[in-house]
Amino acid sequence: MLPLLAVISFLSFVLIHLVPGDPAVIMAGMQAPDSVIEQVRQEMGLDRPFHTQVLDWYQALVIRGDLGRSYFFHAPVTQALAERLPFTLTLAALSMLVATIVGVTLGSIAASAAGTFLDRAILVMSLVGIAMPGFWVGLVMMFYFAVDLGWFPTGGYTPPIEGVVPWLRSLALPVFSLALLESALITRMTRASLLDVLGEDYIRTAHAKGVGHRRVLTRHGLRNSLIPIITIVGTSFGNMIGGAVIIEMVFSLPGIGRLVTMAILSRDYPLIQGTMLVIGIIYVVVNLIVDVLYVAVDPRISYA
Amino acid sequence: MTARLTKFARQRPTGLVGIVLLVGLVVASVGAPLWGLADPLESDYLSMLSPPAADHVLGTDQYGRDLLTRVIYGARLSLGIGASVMTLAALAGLVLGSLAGYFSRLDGPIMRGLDVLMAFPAILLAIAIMAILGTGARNGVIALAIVYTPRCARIVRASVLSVRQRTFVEAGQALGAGDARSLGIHILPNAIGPLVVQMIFVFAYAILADAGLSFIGVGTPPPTPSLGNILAEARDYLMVAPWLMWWPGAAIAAIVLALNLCGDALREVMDPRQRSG
Repeated sequence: MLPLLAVISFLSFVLIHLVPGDPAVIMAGMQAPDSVIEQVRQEMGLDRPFHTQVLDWYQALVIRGDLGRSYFFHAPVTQALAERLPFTLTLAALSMLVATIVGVTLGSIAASAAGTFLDRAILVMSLVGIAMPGFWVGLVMMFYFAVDLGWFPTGGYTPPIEGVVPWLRSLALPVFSLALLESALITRMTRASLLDVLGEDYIRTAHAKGVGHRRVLTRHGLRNSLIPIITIVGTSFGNMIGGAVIIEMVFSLPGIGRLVTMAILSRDYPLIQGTMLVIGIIYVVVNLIVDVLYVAVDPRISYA
Repeated sequence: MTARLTKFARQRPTGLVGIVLLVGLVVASVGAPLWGLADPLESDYLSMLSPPAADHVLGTDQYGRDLLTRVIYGARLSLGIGASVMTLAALAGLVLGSLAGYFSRLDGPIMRGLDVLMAFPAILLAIAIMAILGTGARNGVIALAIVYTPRCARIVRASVLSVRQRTFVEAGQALGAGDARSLGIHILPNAIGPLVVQMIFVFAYAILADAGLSFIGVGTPPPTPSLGNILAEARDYLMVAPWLMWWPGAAIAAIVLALNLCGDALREVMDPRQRSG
C-alpha cells in the first residue's frame, strides 16, 4: 500500500511536467507578456531544479498538508477540496449503500427464483440499467419528478442542518441516478455468485436437515457468496466518485464535479494535482478496507 | 453455416437481439450521409425549439437544428470514438500483456505500472489525462484508451501465462522456435479469445464514458453533435423543450445494450463451461 501511495503522489506531482510545452506559458495564457510568465514561473517554483521541486512538494505535503494554491479559486487547494469533497463522498457513500441494498436484494430474489419469469424480469432490468447513462436517467427523472410533479427540488443542495427531510429530498434523485448502474452490476454479480453457491453439496445437506428455505438462502447461501459481491461493491465506490462528478453537473450540486471541470478548462494544475492525489488515496484506502473485509467474511483468507 | 446460425439463434435469443440491434444502429448511423438528412449544423431560426412535427420528426433545438439528424450524427461519432478507443486499448493491452506474460522479467515493472493507472476511478483518470492533453474528441479517445489499456493487458497476460505452460508451446521451443515465433504463432492465437470478449465491453464502457465527458464539457466541443453535448444543451432547455433529452439518451442506451448483449453471448459461446451441446 505504501509504495502505491508513493507512486500516486509522485504521479500527481509530475502531472504538471507531463504537459507538452511550458506549463508557465500555458497557465499564464498564450498572449501573456513575458514578465507575467516569468512571475508565474517563480510563483510555481518552476524555475528551480527538478529535485528541489520534488523535495519541496513532498515537504509541503507531508509536514504542512499543503497542496499549493488554486489559480482559478484564488484559495489553497486544501481549502477548495475541504469545502467540496465531503459532499461528493457523502453522495457516493449514500449511493453505494442504496446500490448494495437494492443489488443484493434483487440478486438474491433472482437467484432463488432462477429460471422463472421473475428471474428473467430482474435480469432484463439489470441489462437495461447497465446500458443507460446515469446522467440521462437523472435528467429524465428531474423532468418528471421535479419539474412536472414537484416532488423534489430541480437541483441544489440542502444541508442536513436545515432538516433531514429536505436534505434527503435534495439528494434523492442524484443518489438514485448514481446508484442505478452499480445496483444493476451488483444484482448480476449477486445472482451469479449465489447460484454457484446454491449448487453446493452443503446447501442440499442443509435442506435435507430441514433448515427453512429463507435461512438456507441467507445463512448458508448468501454468506458464502459474499466475496465476489464485496469485490464489486469495493470497486463501485471509485466508480461512484467518478460518476458523482457528472451527476453533480446535472443537479447543480456543490461537490468536486464543478471544481474538476473548471480546473481542467482553466488549466488549474495545482487543483488537478491535489484532487487526483486525494482521490487516489481514498481509492487505495477503500481497497484496503475491502481486503480486510475479505478476512472478516472468509476466515480461510489470511495475509500472514 | 446457416444451421449453426439457427442453432445460435435458438439457444441465445438475447445474443441474436443484440447482433441485430447493433447492425441496425451501425448501418443507420454510419450511413448517415446517405439518408438525405438535413445538415446537422444547419440552423433554422424560424423554427427554433419546435416540438416533434412532420418536418422535424424529433423536433428542433435552440438554433432550429434538426434533432433527428443530430442524434444520428452524434451516434455515428460515439460509435467511431468507441471503436477507436477499443482498437487502441486492445492493441496496447495486447503488446503490454503479452510482454508481461511471456517475459517474466518484464512482468513486475509492466504490471505495477498498470496498477497505478487502475488506482484512479476511470472517469477521473480520463479527466486528468485530458487536463494534460487538452479537451476535444481526439484527446478524449487517447485518454479513454489509456484508461482501458490496463484491463485489456491484464486479461492478455493471464491467458498468455496459462497458454505458455502448455505442451505444444514447449514442443515448439524444443524444435527451435525463438521467442517471437513462440509468442506470435503458438501462444497469442490461443490466448486472444478473452481479449476479444473484453474488447466489446470496452467499446460499450468507452461510449458511456465519452458521453459523460462530453456532457460535462470536456469531450467533443459544440457545435459538432455528440450524444453527450446534445444532452448538455437539452439540460439547459429542459423546461421549454423536454423532447430534446429523450432520443440522445435512448440512442446511448440502445448502443450500449446491443454491445453488452453481443458481449454476453460471445462470452458464453467462448466459455466451454457454459456451452451446451
